Amino acid sequence: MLLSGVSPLVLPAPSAVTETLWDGLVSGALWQHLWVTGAETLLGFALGCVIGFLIGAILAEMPRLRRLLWPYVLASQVVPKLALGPIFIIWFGFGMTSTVIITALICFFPLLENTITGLSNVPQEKRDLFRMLGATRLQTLLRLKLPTSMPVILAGIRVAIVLALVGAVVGEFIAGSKGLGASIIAAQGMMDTTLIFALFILITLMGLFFYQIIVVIERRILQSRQKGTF
Amino acid sequence: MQTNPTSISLSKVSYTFSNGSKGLLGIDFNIPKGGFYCLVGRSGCGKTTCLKVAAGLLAPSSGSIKISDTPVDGPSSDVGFVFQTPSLLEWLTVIDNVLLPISLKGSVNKSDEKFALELLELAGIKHLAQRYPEQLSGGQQSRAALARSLVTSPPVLMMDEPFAALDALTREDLQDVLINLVEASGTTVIFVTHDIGEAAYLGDKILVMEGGLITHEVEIDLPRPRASDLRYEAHFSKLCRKVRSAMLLGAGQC
Ligand SMILES: Nc1ncnc2c1ncn2[C@@H]1O[C@H](COP(=O)(O)OP(=O)(O)O)[C@@H](O)[C@H]1O
Ligand SMILES: [Mg+2]
Repeated sequence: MLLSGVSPLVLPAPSAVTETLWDGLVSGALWQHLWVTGAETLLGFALGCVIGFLIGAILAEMPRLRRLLWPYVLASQVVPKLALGPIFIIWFGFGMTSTVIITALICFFPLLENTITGLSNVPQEKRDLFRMLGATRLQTLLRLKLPTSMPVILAGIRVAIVLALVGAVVGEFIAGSKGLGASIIAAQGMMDTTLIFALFILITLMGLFFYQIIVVIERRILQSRQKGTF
Repeated sequence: MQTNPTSISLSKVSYTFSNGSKGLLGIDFNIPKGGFYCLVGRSGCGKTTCLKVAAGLLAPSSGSIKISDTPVDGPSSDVGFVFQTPSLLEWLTVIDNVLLPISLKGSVNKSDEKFALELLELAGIKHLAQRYPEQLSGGQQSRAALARSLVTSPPVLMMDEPFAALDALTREDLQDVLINLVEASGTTVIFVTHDIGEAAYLGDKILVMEGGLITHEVEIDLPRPRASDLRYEAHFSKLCRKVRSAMLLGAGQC
């Protein structure tokens, strides 16, 4: 009742949004953007996670290097990554590369932080156990520290996948010419509120989908850890 | 006992923590081969520190440690160590946890598996071999940790309050399991505990620690094999009282 007086320009009717969404999917107009944003999200996510994990593992294993570099790592993370967008546009141009890099930068930190936290919080007694058993450093990393910290690292991955989608969409606001984020900007230019809401729904569904996939993969990893693959 | 060669010897061992506080102030003792010595003392008196130094996990600030006549300068594979918590790896089954010391050294063969199962049988949890640690009770986890520490048949076993978190009856069961296991293999044991009764039931000798020093030694002249009823005998109580008064005396000296 209250909303009945509101202009569709401000708040479109749900039926109109659904119709726009359906038309876009059936005609294929939205698929291309969905595909671009999905690819950017996953590429940036994978890149950020792998690099964040590797650097995290190195810093966790070398506490002195970590103390030396930590202020810089922290500073680099406090910089709002989206504010770097314009620089990336100059360096890499409009399009996927810039968005992927922004997304990767956003995913990097949760992985770095959780990997370091996980690897350095193995109980003293278990580390002493491995020392008593004459385990090498690599054995201790692969057979004690990594499996022990797996739940923490996987929690970082779950945070990263959500941030990745946000990174990709907002990255497209700045640097994109294709994708769901770029489409939102385009729709805004045309005052097409209905399309904007349809895109919101699509982004939300994609986020839920990616998150679920990660949860399934996570469960698999924890199971294979128990089967002794680690 | 006197005729046996020395298995563990600490001479004038002291240890200072990195923050400058003194952990050990000159520890001397010799344990003959096959001996079972208990280290008792109030918490914070340096028992864990002493054990870690003896095991080579901490380097002494001064003094020397020998195990089987070999100077200790780092963790030695001659020493099995049982920690205060069972410290099982939660992603491995019980049997794989027990075999961990061997699998870290190379591959596990059939006879290793057979021996690990024998140890689990002696520890009373063979039927749980395929379970994961989270599916075990505290006592069962302690049994698995004990089996793990013996799977390489180390000549020396060091135990840091391994049963402290268990209920009284489970603890008594595990004490008997421990005695059986180490007597069968002739293992030399240092057993840290704050429980006087436990020390008297298990040990040949009790070393009383206070403030980083061994202040008293009490010989436990109880016959072996020992059985649970021993705990209610007059001589046992007398020995416990002796240890207790030694601990109180030590406190007075500080
Ligand atoms: N890493 C450390 N740095 C400084 N002091 C320590 C450290 N670990 C233990 N201590 C101190 O050394 C003393 C002996 O500790 P510990 O050997 O653990 O005693 P216990 O095992 O007999 O309870 C305690 O007073 C404790 O506070
Ligand atoms: Mg202790």
